[in-house]
Amino acid sequence: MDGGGPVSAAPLVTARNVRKSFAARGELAGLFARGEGAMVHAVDDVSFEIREGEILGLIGESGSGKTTLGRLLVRLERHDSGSLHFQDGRDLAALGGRALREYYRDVQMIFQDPYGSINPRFTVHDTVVEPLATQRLGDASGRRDRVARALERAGLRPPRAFADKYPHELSGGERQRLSIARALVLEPKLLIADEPVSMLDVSIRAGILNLLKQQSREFGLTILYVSHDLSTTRYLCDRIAIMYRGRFVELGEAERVIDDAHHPYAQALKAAIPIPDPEFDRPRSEAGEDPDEAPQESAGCRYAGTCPKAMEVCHRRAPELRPVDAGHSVACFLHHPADAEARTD
Amino acid sequence: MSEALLEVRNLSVGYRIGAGTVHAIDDVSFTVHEGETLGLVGESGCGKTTAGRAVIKVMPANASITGGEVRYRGRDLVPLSNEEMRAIRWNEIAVIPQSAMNALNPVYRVGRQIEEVIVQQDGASPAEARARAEELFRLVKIDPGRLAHYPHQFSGGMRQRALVAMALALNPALLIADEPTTALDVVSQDRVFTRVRALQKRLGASMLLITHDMGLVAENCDRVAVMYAGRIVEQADTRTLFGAPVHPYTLGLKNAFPSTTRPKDEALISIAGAPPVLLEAPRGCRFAPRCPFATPRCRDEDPALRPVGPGHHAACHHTALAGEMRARAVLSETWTAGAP
Ligand SMILES: Nc1ncnc2c1ncn2[C@@H]1O[C@H](COP(=O)(O)OP(=O)(O)OP(=O)(O)O)[C@@H](O)[C@H]1O
Ligand SMILES: Nc1ncnc2c1ncn2[C@@H]1O[C@H](COP(=O)(O)OP(=O)(O)OP(=O)(O)O)[C@@H](O)[C@H]1O
Ligand code: SF4
Ligand code: SF4
Ligand SMILES: [Mg+2]
Ligand SMILES: [Mg+2]
Repeated sequence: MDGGGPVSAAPLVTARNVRKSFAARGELAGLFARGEGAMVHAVDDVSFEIREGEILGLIGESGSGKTTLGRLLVRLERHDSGSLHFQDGRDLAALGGRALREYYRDVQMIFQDPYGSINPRFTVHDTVVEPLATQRLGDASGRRDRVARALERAGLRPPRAFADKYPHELSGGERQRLSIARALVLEPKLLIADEPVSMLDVSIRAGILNLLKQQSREFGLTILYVSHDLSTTRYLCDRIAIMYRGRFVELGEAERVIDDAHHPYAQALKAAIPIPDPEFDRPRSEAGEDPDEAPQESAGCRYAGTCPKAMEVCHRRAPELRPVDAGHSVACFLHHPADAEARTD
Repeated sequence: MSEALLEVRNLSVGYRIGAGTVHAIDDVSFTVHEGETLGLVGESGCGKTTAGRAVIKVMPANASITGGEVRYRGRDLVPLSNEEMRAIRWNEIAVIPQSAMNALNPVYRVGRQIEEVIVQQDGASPAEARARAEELFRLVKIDPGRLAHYPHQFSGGMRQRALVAMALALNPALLIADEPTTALDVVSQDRVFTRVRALQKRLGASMLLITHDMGLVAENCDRVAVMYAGRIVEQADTRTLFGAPVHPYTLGLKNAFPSTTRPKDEALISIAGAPPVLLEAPRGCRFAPRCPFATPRCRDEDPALRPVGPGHHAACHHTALAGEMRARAVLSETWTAGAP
């Protein structure tokens, strides 16, 4: 299932057939287009591993389940079925109380929304010191040093110029760096970074990416890096997974997945990257009326309604994520013609 | 050239904080013509959002416009009352805020929030407002059934698209889009831009596009203004700005454009150092401490924004040496050697 690579690297996280759905409940259900009992299958039968020390990139359509998957890993949501295990066999489904608090020493998340995830009444210092206090780590002066170091590392320099500021006094990018400082202050083993640099300009972005890369190379930090930017993900990550409507459609070694994208959705992503050259006339995606949110209940490939290469079988059966090469897996009948045939009728 | 819709002249905005006043933008001038898209780019914290928000005067309590004019269709908006501004917001000038992901009220359904704007500003009936909201959701590629959901039930990118829909609700003549697609994958971004641009063209509307994505700028903007530390340092039509930039800061920015074909082990080139803290007016050129081409004159004398070609302006003492600076700027050692 998994996209190959060195077999020796032990998994830090193991996910098997993980699912998470949300219901449109109560009076809402009647108003919601698909009516009573409509479900959003945010994460739909996903299996993968995050290897110790690796940076795994997660790219995908808006609404495809990336944030939900991250929230499952930090136990802000519980999976409906399947299994999620951390390194030493800890079962995420079983964590609670003290065990959960200890888990947060190892696993931290940088949230996608740097506005909503930060307490507006906390100063920059209060925000970053809080995880240390919750974990009862260090004394006051030790904490101050660690906070300053985290701010410095996240590029809020000099730290004293920012320590007493409130979130509303920061620019969008500065807030994003505050989230990064907060997540790194505990020196976790696993960092879920949900679009951590989306609001940063290229030059500061480069600094943060180099920082994450260095944390990984020098301190063995394992990172799940959620992003929609293919070039920075390719630069930063060891492997990349591409998600579409709750499923992984392609997974493998970073350069391969980007340079030699197999899945039609992955190819569409590449074709949609805006080119920083006004002389270049990139073909724009036609604004056709393709289905906005294809009914997920369909038995076929989730991409069949949009896919320019869809075949008859695609509307009836869902392709599985299987290797096309060492270290590169794809879920598409085009690349597994035998699957399509073997399963027809 | 078509007529000016928005003319920002010598605008300055300060934020009062404990230690004094942060002069977030200082003497900023730019124009958005009828039907055009102006890109506003520059490093995080350089004042882009401040400039955008000052135009419609939706600013934090500690902010004040300390000088300059914001002429919209010839009328200065700076002295207008809140009441007068309310008549302009949404139908004349609409904003997609940078905090789009958090800008929706968590306790109301997304649909209700959009319909309310349409009813209040346009006097539409609730049914008309609902139909319009559905149409807008289709435009940004969200299932209209989702209008019944609360913001927390939306993904980050869906919230952002909902705000795009809301800003377009009353067909504004000027759209100020502050990082409107940061939470979208490139396929969705492409679709939203294709559609918004088609709508813009049909209505002859203008856009001020604030973004870090130079690809978006290249593909969508007619002209570009580059900001650094509260100032506009270069302004030109898009082709000129990409093809023949003259300001060293623009050269550095251009260098850091990411690419999917760059060798993976090559470190990204970034401009070393940080922008100045704007508590007091810096002496000389604001970019001098980080500029690989700075001379003693740069540290003494503040360069004014001057014409360097047709429709092309730059604030640098050494624009005459632009050709040589461009050649040196592509070498990583130019930026790592440290400023002289
Ligand atoms: N609490 C919730 N209640 C109902 N639906 C939810 C909830 N959280 C997420 N969803 C739905 O689950 C799907 C996946 O959402 P998720 O936030 O994981 O997407 P994402 O891949 O992170 O998207 P984006 O790139 O836009 O942030 C979406 O359709 C979303 O509306
Ligand atoms: N309410 C405030 N009080 C004090 N300082 C502020 C306030 N809002 C912004 N600032 C400061 O003003 C400067 C400009 O901020 P602004 O939000 O305009 O930047 P920006 O160019 O939009 O940056 P980004 O790309 O990160 O969003 C920053 O240094 C920021 O810290
Ligand atoms: S399985 Fe069929 S519909 Fe799905 S991506 Fe492949 S070709 Fe397209
Ligand atoms: S004026 Fe001098 S310091 Fe400023 S950008 Fe030009 S060369 Fe660099
Ligand atoms: Mg998300
Ligand atoms: Mg901003």
